[in-house]
Amino acid sequence: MNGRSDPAQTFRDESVELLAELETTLLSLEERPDDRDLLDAAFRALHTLKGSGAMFGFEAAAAFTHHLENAFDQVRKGQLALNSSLIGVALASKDHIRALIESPESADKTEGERLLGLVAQQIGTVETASVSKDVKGGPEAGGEVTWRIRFRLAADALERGTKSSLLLDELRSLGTATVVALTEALPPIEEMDPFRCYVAWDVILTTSQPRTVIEDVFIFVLDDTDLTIEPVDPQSERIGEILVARGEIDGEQVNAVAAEQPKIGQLLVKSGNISEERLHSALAEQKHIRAESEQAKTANSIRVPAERLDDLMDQVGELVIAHARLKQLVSASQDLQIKSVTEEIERLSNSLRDTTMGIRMVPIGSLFSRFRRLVRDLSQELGKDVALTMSGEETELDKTMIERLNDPLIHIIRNSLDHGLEQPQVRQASGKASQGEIHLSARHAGTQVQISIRDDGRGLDRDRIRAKAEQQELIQPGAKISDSELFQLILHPGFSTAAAVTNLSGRGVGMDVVKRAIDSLRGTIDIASTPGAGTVITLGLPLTLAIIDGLLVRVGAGRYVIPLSAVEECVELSQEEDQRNTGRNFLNIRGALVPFIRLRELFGTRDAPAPYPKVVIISTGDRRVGLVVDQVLGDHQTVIKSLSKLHADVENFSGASILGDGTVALIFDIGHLVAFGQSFEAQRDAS
Amino acid sequence: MEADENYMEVDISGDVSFVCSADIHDRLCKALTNGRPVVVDCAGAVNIDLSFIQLLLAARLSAMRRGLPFALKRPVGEALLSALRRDGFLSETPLPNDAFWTGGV
Repeated sequence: MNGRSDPAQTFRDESVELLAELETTLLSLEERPDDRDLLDAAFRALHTLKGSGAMFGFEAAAAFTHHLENAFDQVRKGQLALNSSLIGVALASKDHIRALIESPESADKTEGERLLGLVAQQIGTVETASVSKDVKGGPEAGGEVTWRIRFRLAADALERGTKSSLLLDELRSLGTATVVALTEALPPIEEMDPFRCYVAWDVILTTSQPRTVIEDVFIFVLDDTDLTIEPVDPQSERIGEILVARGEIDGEQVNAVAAEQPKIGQLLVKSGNISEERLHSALAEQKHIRAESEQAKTANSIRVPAERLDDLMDQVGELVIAHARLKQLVSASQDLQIKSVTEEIERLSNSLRDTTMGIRMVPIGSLFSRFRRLVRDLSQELGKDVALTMSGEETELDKTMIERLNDPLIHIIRNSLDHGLEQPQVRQASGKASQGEIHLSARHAGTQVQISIRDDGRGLDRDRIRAKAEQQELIQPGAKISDSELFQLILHPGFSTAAAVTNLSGRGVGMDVVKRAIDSLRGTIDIASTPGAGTVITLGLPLTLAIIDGLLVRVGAGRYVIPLSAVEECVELSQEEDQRNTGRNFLNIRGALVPFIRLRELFGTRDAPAPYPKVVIISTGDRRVGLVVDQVLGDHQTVIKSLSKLHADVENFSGASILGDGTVALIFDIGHLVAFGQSFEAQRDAS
Repeated sequence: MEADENYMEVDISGDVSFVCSADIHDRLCKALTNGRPVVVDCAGAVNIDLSFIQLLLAARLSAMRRGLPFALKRPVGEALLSALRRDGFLSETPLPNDAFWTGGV
């Protein structure tokens, strides 16, 4: 049994998706309570959670879910109205089900009992809903259908903890079922593997439930189970199958008798209608089509543990490094064949890198949809009417990035809702629609993904932010500063206090936390705001955290990597200009003064300086700073290695990279360097 | 396991769930090698699941091939009957194997 996946963990993993789908469905149902498909989807999700939970030993979750499932069953039958109150209870129950699955021991029992009480209240109110009555086309509308369900579990199903009796109980719970176990594959005991499953089942089920509900019974074993579900047509069924359906005879006997009869192909050959060769050809075609169909069914998608993708990415990273070393070695060679092979390896390595990165990409919609619940709950809490809209949900981003964006986006959205959007009456008084809007959008922009959070609220109050910044001595009184730069100050640690949040009609507590999170992703934050019209916060993020394109530079004997996406241009620092600037550290770039940092001074380098130092101009947002280096070595694709915990406090570097010759190059943290450089500008303003 | 002049009785009681399959498999195989009819007493068996039912059916099949009678000792116990019903080996309508499960000696 070693190496097999833990079925309970598989259930936990899949229940996360199922619960997320349930939440999305419930939120959509709140908007469209008449949508029968949504109602069926919610019921199916609950039904599956209950059935599969029981199957994999999550009895508490299954028992709790059962009550909610009952409530939704009543809604489906028109016995209970679907209103916001029930949706609210269902959403809270969904959270509790998650707790019961993740950690049954520590789940809050009192909360569970409270929720069950609320569900019971809902069911107790039993009002006839107009919703379900009017629905047409649902499975119930057509009455009951009889299905023939044939399935054979995987050979290792018993080892994986699958319990056939629970699957069969689930099917029985859907209607009237006749279950027949088929044992023709069972060998004599001395030949059998006692851990293997040899039994198959035929189930004749008469139910008012749709086919999808039957399929959901098998959802956690579907990948490895031979399963067919087909409706039984009472007009055309063969007598043998009707006998099976009636339970008067079992499937084995019917098969045994049928096997003694000549097959249609044999009859056609015997009658001289076709040759034996043509029959074989047709059978081969039939076999082929079946095999293709089976392959297509199983090849659509597979589930892979995230750690394996991380391992793969690590190995691709090592390959990129190894290739860089090979390339460096080969550069000194005159052997054209070796050069050619090296180029071929480079092409394959790049292709493998792109493919691997592609596998890790996840549509950002999976992240955006999580915020529907947040907006719903928070707007109710604050007494605001808010619509959450989205665009660009299909935009893909590295899965690690998606996870790490969750908290900062929650923070921004919460702030928009809390401080940005006005109360309905205030909005109406200012000529706006009473319903506010938060719009989430994502799009690819070059090697970046841009995520925008836009609200149509009151906008940031420039004067108040300025006053606060001056009070905290972040800027000098009267200093000239653009709106964009001013708004960046709300990201400053400690800028917002509780009092400031109340007084500032803008962004509030904890935006510095957002900045830290985005900085750690090598991202940028731009803030734009129009008084009375709203605020747009745009996050610029790299596509992946694992590999970046960098500019390799030398400072003294050390080599460093500057992320290429931050590099604006490289200019020479002439001796004349260097001397003119001594003590000032500003460079005139086409009429604009750009502060620069002498990295030799910053790093305390004692080697002889280069005669013609270069300045690499880097930027984040509207802010620019120059880095004076001894030499620009060229572009360099960089696999990022994390710094050790000992170096976690070194703010100016975000990681390290291994160069082709095996030496280490540190990677600059652009955000910190720019902020460091900007402090020179602040000093200039002060003077 | 008790040996009798006429038959070999195998007493299987306690936990017979999947984790015990290998042990039960060995005991049934050993019983069948004696060349005498086998009677299995599983009235005291608990935690019965599909793995145990498969073992009994496979042992029966093996005995049939050897020309040896193989039966369950009556009464077989409600735990086994319940498991047989849930897994589709017994139904309200009589099935061919019913005699094996409910007949016995």
